[in-house]
Amino acid sequence: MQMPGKGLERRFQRLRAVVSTWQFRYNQLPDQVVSRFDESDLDSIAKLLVEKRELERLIRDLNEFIRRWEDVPSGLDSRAAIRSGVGGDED
Amino acid sequence: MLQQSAWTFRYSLEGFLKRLLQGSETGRTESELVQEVLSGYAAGDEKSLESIPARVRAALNAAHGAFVKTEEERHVLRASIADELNDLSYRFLQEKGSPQKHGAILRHLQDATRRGRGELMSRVDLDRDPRFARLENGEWLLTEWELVNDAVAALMTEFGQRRADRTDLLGLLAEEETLQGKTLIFYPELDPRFAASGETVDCLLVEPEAAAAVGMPVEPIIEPETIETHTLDKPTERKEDSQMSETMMMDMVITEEKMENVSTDQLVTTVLAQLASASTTLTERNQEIPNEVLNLFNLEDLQGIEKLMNQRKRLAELAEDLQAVIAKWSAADRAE
Repeated sequence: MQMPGKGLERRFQRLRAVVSTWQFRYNQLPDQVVSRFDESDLDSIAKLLVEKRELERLIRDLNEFIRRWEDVPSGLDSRAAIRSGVGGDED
Repeated sequence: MLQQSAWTFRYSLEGFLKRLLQGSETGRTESELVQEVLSGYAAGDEKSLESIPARVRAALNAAHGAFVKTEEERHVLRASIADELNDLSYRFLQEKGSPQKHGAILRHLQDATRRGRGELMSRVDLDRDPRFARLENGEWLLTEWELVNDAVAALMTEFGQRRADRTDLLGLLAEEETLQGKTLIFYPELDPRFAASGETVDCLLVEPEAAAAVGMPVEPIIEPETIETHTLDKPTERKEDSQMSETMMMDMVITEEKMENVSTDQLVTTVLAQLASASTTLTERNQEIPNEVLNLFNLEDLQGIEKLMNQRKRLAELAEDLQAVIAKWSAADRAE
C-alpha cells in the first residue's frame, strides 16, 4: 500500500522537474536569439521575447506554488512525524 | 519583474545548517539554530514557518545525518568522513569549482574507481559528510564555498545594473571584507534571478526600464579608468546613434594633424594603414554584435534589434568594400 505522503511528494518532484525544464529552456534563449539574429529573422526574435516573458512568469508562479504548499504537511504526515520525532523534511 | 522573495536560490535545509555550524567548535543549541533558520533561510516564506522547528529537529537528529549532539545539548558537525569515495568527490568538486549534480559526481567516481553505479549509489553518502552541502535543486557543492548569488543579486540591484561580466562581479565581491580569502562561487545557471550567456550575466531583478532610467543598462560596475575597455558592451551609447564622443573627435583632429606632417611619398601608405585599422575596428565591432543583441533582447527592445540588423548589414558591406580597396591599393603600392 502506498503511504499517503509519497504520492504528494512525487507530484512535487514532477513539478520541480517541470520548473527545471522551463529554466533550461529559458537559459537556451540567448543562443536562439543570436541564431535568429544571424538569419535576420525578427519575427522569431519577437516570438522568443514573448516566450521569455511567459517563462519568467511560469517559473516564478510554479516555484511560488511549490514553496507555498510543499512544506505544509498533511494531517497523517505531521502526526506521524511528531510521534516519531522525524519531520517531513527530506533535506 | 521577478521578485527575489519568490525566487530564492538556496541551500537545502540540511545544507544551510551545515553552513551555520561549519568551523564552530562549541556548536549551537536547537533553538538557536531554529531562530537562524527562521531569519536567514525561511524568511518571507510564511507558509513554511510553522514547520521549521520540526524540520530542523528532524535534520539535526537524523540517524545518518551530518550532525552530532554534545553533552551540553548543543549541535556540532560530525568529523569529516575518512572515505575514499567522499575524498574523490571532494576533489572532483574542487576541480570543477561549481555545484554538480549527484549523477555527475557518480559518473566521475565510476570513471575514477571502475566500480559499478549501483555500488557507488549505495556507498556514497554526501549527506552525512559535513564537507558537502546540497542546494534545493539537488546539486552539491562544498560547504566551505561561499555561494554569492544573493550578494551578486543585491549588488546588481543596488547599482540598477542589468548586465555584467562574471569576472568583474566576482572581483568586486572579493574585495569585500567579509568575503576576503574565501572561495567565492557564483552560479547563475538555474538561478531564475539570472540569465547567463558565457561570461555575461543578466540580473532579471533589475527592470530594464530602471536600468535605462539611471542611464546604465549594461554599463559594467567598474572603476572609471577601466571603462574604456568595456565600451563595446554599451549598445545604447553607440557612437553611431549619438553624437560623436569627445575622445573620437580628438582622435580625428590628431589624425589630421599627423597627416599634414606625413611626406607625400608616404601619404598613400599611411592612408592605407589607417583604412586597415578602420577595417579591423569594423570587424571587431561586428564580433561584438551578438552581445549587443542580447542586451537589447533583455531590454525587450525589438526596434533596437531591427535597427541593429540593418546596421550590421551596412557594417559588413562597408568592411567588405574597405578590404577590397585596401587589397587593391596595397598591391599597387607594392608594385611601385
